[in-house]
This record gives sequence, structure tokens and C-alpha cells, in this order.
Amino acid sequence: MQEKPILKAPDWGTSVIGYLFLGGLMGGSAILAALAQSNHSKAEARLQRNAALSAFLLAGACPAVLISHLGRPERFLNMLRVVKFKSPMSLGAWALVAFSAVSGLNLVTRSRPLGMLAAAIGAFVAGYTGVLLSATAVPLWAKGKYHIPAISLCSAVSGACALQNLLLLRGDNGAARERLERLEIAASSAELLLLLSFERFSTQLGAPMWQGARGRRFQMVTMRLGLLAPIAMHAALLFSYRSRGATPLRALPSLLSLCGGYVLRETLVQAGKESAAQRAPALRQVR
Amino acid sequence: MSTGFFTDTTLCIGCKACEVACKQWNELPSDGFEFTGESYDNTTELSATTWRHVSFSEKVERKPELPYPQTRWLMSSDVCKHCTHAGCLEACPTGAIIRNEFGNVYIQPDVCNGCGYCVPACPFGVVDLMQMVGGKDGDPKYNTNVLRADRMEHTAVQAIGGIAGKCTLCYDRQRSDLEPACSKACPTESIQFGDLDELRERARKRVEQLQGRQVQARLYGVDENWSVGTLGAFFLLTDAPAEYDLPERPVLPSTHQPAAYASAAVAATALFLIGSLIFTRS
Ligand code: SF4
Ligand code: SF4
Ligand code: SF4
Repeated sequence: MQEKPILKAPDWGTSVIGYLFLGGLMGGSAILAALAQSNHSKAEARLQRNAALSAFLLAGACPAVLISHLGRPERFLNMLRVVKFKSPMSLGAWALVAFSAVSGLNLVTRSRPLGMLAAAIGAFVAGYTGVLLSATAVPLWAKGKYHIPAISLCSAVSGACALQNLLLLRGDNGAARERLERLEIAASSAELLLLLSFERFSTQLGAPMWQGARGRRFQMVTMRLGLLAPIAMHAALLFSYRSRGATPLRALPSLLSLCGGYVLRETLVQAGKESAAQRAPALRQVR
Repeated sequence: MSTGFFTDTTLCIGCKACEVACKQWNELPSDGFEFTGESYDNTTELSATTWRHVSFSEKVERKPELPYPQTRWLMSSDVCKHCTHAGCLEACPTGAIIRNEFGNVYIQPDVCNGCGYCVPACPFGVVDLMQMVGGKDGDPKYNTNVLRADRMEHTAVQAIGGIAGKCTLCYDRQRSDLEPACSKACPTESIQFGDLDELRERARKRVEQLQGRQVQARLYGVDENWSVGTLGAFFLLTDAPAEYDLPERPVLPSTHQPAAYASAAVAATALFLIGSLIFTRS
């Protein structure tokens, strides 16, 4: 007999998962664009341009994905009736709008303050999605309030590094790619440690995330292939040889990292929905 | 002045008149029908199209001094709690959910955009989304042909987006000085509607009266120090809240926000500093 649920899970599916993923890439790209602004080599100028352009394009894609979730496009505008500081979803909608404007301007003017502003709003977008999940009654998400937002940010940065690395694969961009790889190693390592810490901290609430078929998939695709493998591959490349030519093999860690990032969001959403269906944690709620 | 409900579960006889009255007054569609085998409960839960739900809890107890098992049967009419600090209201990004002039938590259907964020933000699992469907003229229709895919056959109608639904505390009736349909229909006065201060006073007296008769009675949603505040629809229970499918200790989801924002801020700062180091080194 199935347990009678106490809580209700949201109906979020592929479009919301896709939004969490793309929003992360967008915020991460804006951060990278700002970081690359501090340098003057040609490769870094290319990185800055690519990252700023990806951020701007993703800022167009994000609302489109959200709107597809709402069913009718014009209903997105209802989000812009009010500003509610208590509602992460409201702040997020406003941040998306602000980001489109700022990143668009940044693309044209390339001014340093605008780049920093875009990075700040981008970081907010990458992080508020974690807050949005945690500020619910869903046991797994509420339990993850110390971990999920930080994990979202790390994953946003490592995913953006991977994306920009792919875009710089052709041509003489070794200097910029090496920096991207270092940053990706840092972000992915932090993400891995945070995930391991979350697994311990969430105790039995974490079962839908780490156990069963979904858990095995998550451990394989995100933790091993999406984090551990790219870290190892990048580290090996950094320390073994410095010829930075483009071979198809060099695309592999970036592709793995991006897949891992998507599966991370998917697992968080689906495991959260499953945790909401369990009776015991819903009766004694996460404080 | 705030209005609300005092639900005295000791008086409920499980007739479901409140469920029917609510469906009829609010023109809520059928959810289909299915025998669950769970006592007399074939409604199973509150949903976007079921705003009153009579829950049944059957417990068979064996006492050593009796040769036969005894059945203890609890019935309770569940509804939106109209929380003083409402998770749904805080979470709603469109401002569709408001506190109206009667102090009740009300969803404005024409403002709701179906984002669904109120659903996981309710610590009681009350509010849910219903899918609206296109009518012949292609216009969205509220409340018609709402589908519970697992129960209904005619899912072929094209869904065009969701809208959140829950008890309005009969806002329309209250505005016309009418009592809500559910409490009006209740034949035993298990559901009592009125001014919350008066109701609480009456409820406390009732608890004393029952305790005088050796009944283990307690109130739910009145004197606890919960983050959701006192409940605008509170209950008199004679067993643990879990027996009535109520959380023992509801937590307002926005109380998780400070920790979550801090987590994001720390991570963003650390990543940006590390990034600056990596990108400025020559
Ligand atoms: S019970 Fe849930 S739906 Fe009702 S007011 Fe409280 S939070 Fe909102
Ligand atoms: S579904 Fe409607 S009522 Fe619920 S949070 Fe979204 S806009 Fe507000
Ligand atoms: S107050 Fe009105 S809307 Fe709410 S449960 Fe009763 S009849 Fe339904």
C-alpha cells in the first residue's frame, strides 16, 4: 500500500530543470566575462567576448524556457507586477530582466563597471535557484539550505568554464584555456566536496538523491564522469605537457562536465519531488 | 477582525456534506471516482479541485482486558489553514495570493500565472495546480473539465497551462454576509465559522469540557509557537496530528532563506576571489 502523502510536490519537469541549468550557465558565463576583462592577451579578449555573448544569448533563452512551462507566454509578465523580497521566484524574474538589459549593454559598450554588474546579477541568478528550492517545504530541498545554493554556484561556474573552453577549442587560445581549466578544477572540486558533505548531512532524507536507480545514475554521471573525471583530465593536461593544440579529445572533459551539470539539476528536482511524497519527513518538518 | 474556522473533530460524523457543498458552491469539477479501500475516504487529499476533504483514520486496538478488538474511528474535515504567516502567500511571485479584508488567504485566479511555486511552499500540502483547458472558442476556461490524469478518461483536451486552486474561505459568500458553504452544510456543527477570537475562546472551553469527560482533547494551530503563526482554520484533535494527516510541527519555508542566501553569497565570493587570482596571474 502506498503511503498517503502529506506534502505536494511541484509539477516541475524538463523545462524547469532546463531553466536551472541554462540559468547557471548564463550566470557563470557573465562571471567569466568579468574575470577575463582584467587581462589583455588576445585569447582572453576572445574569451571575454565569447562569454559576454553567451551570457546575453542565454538571457534570451531562459525566459523562453520558463514561458514554455507557464503554457501561455503573456503570463510571464504577471511576474513583473510586483517585487517581493520574500519570494525568490519574484526576485529571480526581476534579476533575469535586469540581466538581459545589463548584459546587452555590456556587449555594446564593454565597460568594466557594466561587466562587473552583469557578473553580480549573473551570480545572483546562478545562486537564487538554489535558494528557491531550499525555501520550500520539500524535505530534501529544505535540508539542503546550507549546501544546494553553493552547489548551484559551483556548478554554474564549472559549467560555464566547460562551455567557454569548448568555444575556444579552435585556434591559438592556450593561455585563456589554461586559466579556464584551473578555475574549473577549483569549482568542480568544491562542488564535489559540497556534494559529499550534503550526502552525509542529509542522512536518510537524501536517499532519493543517492540511492536507487536515480542515485546510481547521479553518482556515475555527475559525481564520477561530470566532476571527478574532468578534474583528473584537466589536471593531467596542465601538468603533463603544455602544447595546447586542439584535438577532439580535449572536448571530452568539457562535454562530460556539462552533462554532469544537467543531471545534477535533474536529480535535485526529481529527488526533491520524491522526498515530498514521503510521510515521515513531512510530518516532522525540517527546521 | 479575522474570520476563520474552528473544526471540532469530535463532532464530525464523516457525512462529507462539507465536501459536496464546497464543490457545488464553487462549481468545482469532479475528480473522478475510485474506491481506495482506505476506510470511507475516496477523496484521498485536498487538491486544486477539492477544497474540503474529510479524512478517516481507523485504528484497531486490542486491550488485554477485552476479548475483542476495539475500533477507534477518527474523522476530520480538512481545509486550507489560512495561516497567519502563509508560505504560499510569501512564495507567490505574481502577488496573486493576497490576504483579503477578512484576514483570509485568497488566490486571485486572474493574476495567477501557473508558476506552481506556491505548491511546494505550503507546509500542509494544501494548494495545487489545476490544468486549464481550451474551450471551443480557444479561450482558457477556469474550472471546467479539470483533469486528474490518473483518474479521468478525457485527457485529450489540450491543456494550456495551470492555475493554483484552494479554499477561498468563500470570499464571495462572506462579502454578501453569508456563511461559507461548508460550515453552513455541516449538520453537527463540527465546522464552526466566525470571528477567530470568539472561536478560540469557544474552542478552549470545549477542550476543558472534553477533558472533564476524560477525553484527550487538544487544539491544533492555536497556542503553539509555530513559524506559520496561528491557523485561521484550527482544529480540536483527540489523537496525534499525524493521525489526521497533519504535520506535528509545520515550518514556514521562508525561514530557510537566510541560510540559503548565505550559502550562495559565500560560494559566489569564494569563486570570484579564486577566479581573480587565476585570471590575474601572468
Ligand atoms: S495552509 Fe497552505 S495554502 Fe493554506 S494558507 Fe497556509 S500555506 Fe497557504
Ligand atoms: S501558481 Fe499562481 S498562485 Fe501559485 S505562486 Fe504561482 S502565480 Fe502565485
Ligand atoms: S470555505 Fe468555501 S471554499 Fe473553503 S472549503 Fe468551505 S465551502 Fe469550500
